[in-house]
Amino acid sequence: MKLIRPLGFGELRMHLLHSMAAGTTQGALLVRVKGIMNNDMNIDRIRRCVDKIKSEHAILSACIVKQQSDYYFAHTAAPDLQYVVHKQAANSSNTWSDNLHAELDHLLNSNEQLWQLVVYTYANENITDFILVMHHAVMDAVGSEYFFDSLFTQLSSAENELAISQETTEFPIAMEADALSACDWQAFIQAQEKVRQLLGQVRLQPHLATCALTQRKTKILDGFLESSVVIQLEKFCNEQQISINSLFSTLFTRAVYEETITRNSFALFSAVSLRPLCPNAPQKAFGCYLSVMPTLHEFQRDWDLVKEAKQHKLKQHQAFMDIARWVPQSFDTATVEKMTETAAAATSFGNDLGFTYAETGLKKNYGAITIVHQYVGARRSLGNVAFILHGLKSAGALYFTLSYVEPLQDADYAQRVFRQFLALAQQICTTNTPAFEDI
Amino acid sequence: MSIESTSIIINSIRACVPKPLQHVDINSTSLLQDLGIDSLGLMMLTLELEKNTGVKLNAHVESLVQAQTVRDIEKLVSSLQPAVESAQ
Repeated sequence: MKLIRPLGFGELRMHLLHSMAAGTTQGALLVRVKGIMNNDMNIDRIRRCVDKIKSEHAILSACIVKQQSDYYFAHTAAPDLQYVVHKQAANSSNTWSDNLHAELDHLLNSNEQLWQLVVYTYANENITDFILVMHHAVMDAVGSEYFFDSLFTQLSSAENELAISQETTEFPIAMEADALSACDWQAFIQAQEKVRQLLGQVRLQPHLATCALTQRKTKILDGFLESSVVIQLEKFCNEQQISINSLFSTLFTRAVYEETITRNSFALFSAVSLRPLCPNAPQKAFGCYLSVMPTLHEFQRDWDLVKEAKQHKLKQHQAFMDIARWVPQSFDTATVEKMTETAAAATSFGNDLGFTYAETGLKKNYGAITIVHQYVGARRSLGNVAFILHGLKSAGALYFTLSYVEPLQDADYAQRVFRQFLALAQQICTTNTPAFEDI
Repeated sequence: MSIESTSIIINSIRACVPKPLQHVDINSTSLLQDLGIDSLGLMMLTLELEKNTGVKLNAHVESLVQAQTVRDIEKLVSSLQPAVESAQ
């Protein structure tokens, strides 16, 4: 097997965390489209488009292997790997979220492949669901959207443009070799100490049950805000000079607080891409540039949304400067292995809450293909985060998933939190919309 | 604030302005919001300013987050620069 390069720190940490069960599927992006079957595009054409994209990006043919004590990206040696899987179902109504659950808990073998595209088609319906499952060492949120942008562009192109490319882009360099905020190991450990101190201030949610990683199942609650609601929320944010990210972070943590009577403080880990800190990294490409900004939020019964959202923005900026931006230039694999081992044996949700928010990088239409909706999913079997909320803005609307893990987490509790979150968001519009008589 | 310092700050801001707005003229009265500097953009701007001006901004995040115009940024950096120079 031909080795490509050792894994960087961020890639290794992702790999170790998610290799504890028998596989490494970590995240998924579901994109529902209409228009493909109408235009005589079939699964063979999708496969050829994927083959072309794969031929253009060496990273898409990589796997991860351990040689002696170090981990490497390598060219996969396994023959006949399935990068595109086609599944058919009777009808599309409400099945996509079940399919997303199933694909997140279907684990890939990282010694062979690091991603897979599952295509769901439905009898007599012009709807197609694409679920891209991925290992975050090769694809973050930007990477997964780049994949779909390439796929839909290819699908809407002429047949003669689908020839396999002879030119392959270079394998991306590790983030720490490029990041402006690369630091030595000692500085990184000091930054991590701040995370430990922050977590020491909250009572982490205990697991409801103790069970093996393989028995844990990812559960996802989904919901969306229509574009008319999103317009009102954005207007509200502009007027109050708060970011939409801070608004939803505040609503989410407040919703958890409202439904968690035993606690009044929570740690929130917000995802951030360090791609802008890497001068040699293309802004749209594959690769792993993830980091997290941990912030502490304390609540009281009386509250002021705008004040809390402004505080969140400030705390997040400070967490970025103190913690999230630092990437260690050098590290010892054995130490990183030891750092990640504790998560599997933990009996509480070690990182409390997680939040990601992004505006889609995809267009609404690609020729005859129209995007209906997009939802983000993440495998949660590790149980390191009690709840993680993903928000994705696409074609004006906002699509949310709240993921948790059974049986470590209580389904009713998760549903209450999610309903509360959506209700709080709707409430802003109600409160800030003039009554009919006032117009 | 010297013309050179102003120019360094404006160049730092320009590096963080989203591509569709990069043609926009930037001067001291420009609003960061109008330049598309969102919360992530402000984080990147903080790093650019540290890199280009040599000032350490870790302890001044609150002032940065409250900054609304290019002039607010100029004032903040200018208030920190003499300390840096005297330390050198």
